[in-house]
Amino acid sequence: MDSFVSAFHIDLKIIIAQAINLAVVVFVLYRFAIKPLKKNLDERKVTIEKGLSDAKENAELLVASKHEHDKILSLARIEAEKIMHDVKKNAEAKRAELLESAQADAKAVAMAAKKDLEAEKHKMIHEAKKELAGLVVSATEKVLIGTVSHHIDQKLVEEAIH
Amino acid sequence: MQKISPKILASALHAATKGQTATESAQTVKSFVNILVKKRMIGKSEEVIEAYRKLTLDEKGIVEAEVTTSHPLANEAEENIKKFIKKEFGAKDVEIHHKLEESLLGGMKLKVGDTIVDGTLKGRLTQLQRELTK
Repeated sequence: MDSFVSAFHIDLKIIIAQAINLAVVVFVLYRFAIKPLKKNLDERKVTIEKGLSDAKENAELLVASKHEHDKILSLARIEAEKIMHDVKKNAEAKRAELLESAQADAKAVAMAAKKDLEAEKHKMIHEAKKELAGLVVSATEKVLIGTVSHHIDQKLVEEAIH
Repeated sequence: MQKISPKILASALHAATKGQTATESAQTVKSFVNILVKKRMIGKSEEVIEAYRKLTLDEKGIVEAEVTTSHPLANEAEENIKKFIKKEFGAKDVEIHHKLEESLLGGMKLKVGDTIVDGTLKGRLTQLQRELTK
């Protein structure tokens, strides 16, 4: 061993000193460079992982939102169709009701007009009859004035009491 | 004071004069007129006389009839009318008041009390007019 040390001019003290130096350097490096760097890297890793996780979560949320959006849209479309159907149905019912009402009104008006017409017709017929009867009686009276003989008159008197 | 109706007065006079002689009746009537004057009802005397006359006719069973014709009535026809009234109204005798009305055209209109028999041509024409107007 001593020959080996002397052959290679190895000074044990220097080696020890160098080892201590190396240990100090390693310690300093670890303490002030590697450890903060590692810490920093870990932090960045956590941040990136969080970012990735958030992005994934966001993507999932987006997908879920899209599904929800589609679902809401679909429901809204169904609701709109239902409303349209109801509106159409109500409009049809209202139209039928209005049509029926209008038909009833028209019928009532026609009936009233017919009734008025009938009344007017009867009135006119009655008036005509009255006028005609008046004319007949008036004409007969004119014919009879002075034409009823005493004989006929006495006969009429006899008729009245028999 | 409550007014007494002419009919009641006539009934009273009729009852008072019943069975009296002409002289007695004249005295009763005179007293009756005095009462009418006192009661200030002399203005109703005509109505009283008419009611009295009707009472007298009723008592005697005489029926008054109003006959309206367009021509003068023949005696035979008048007799027939009297017979008709006696038969229909159970009268002992008939007093006819005859009226002429040319507008009746012919026939006769007879009124006894509230009963009217219209056998005139005018009446028949009016009936005809009513039938035609129906």
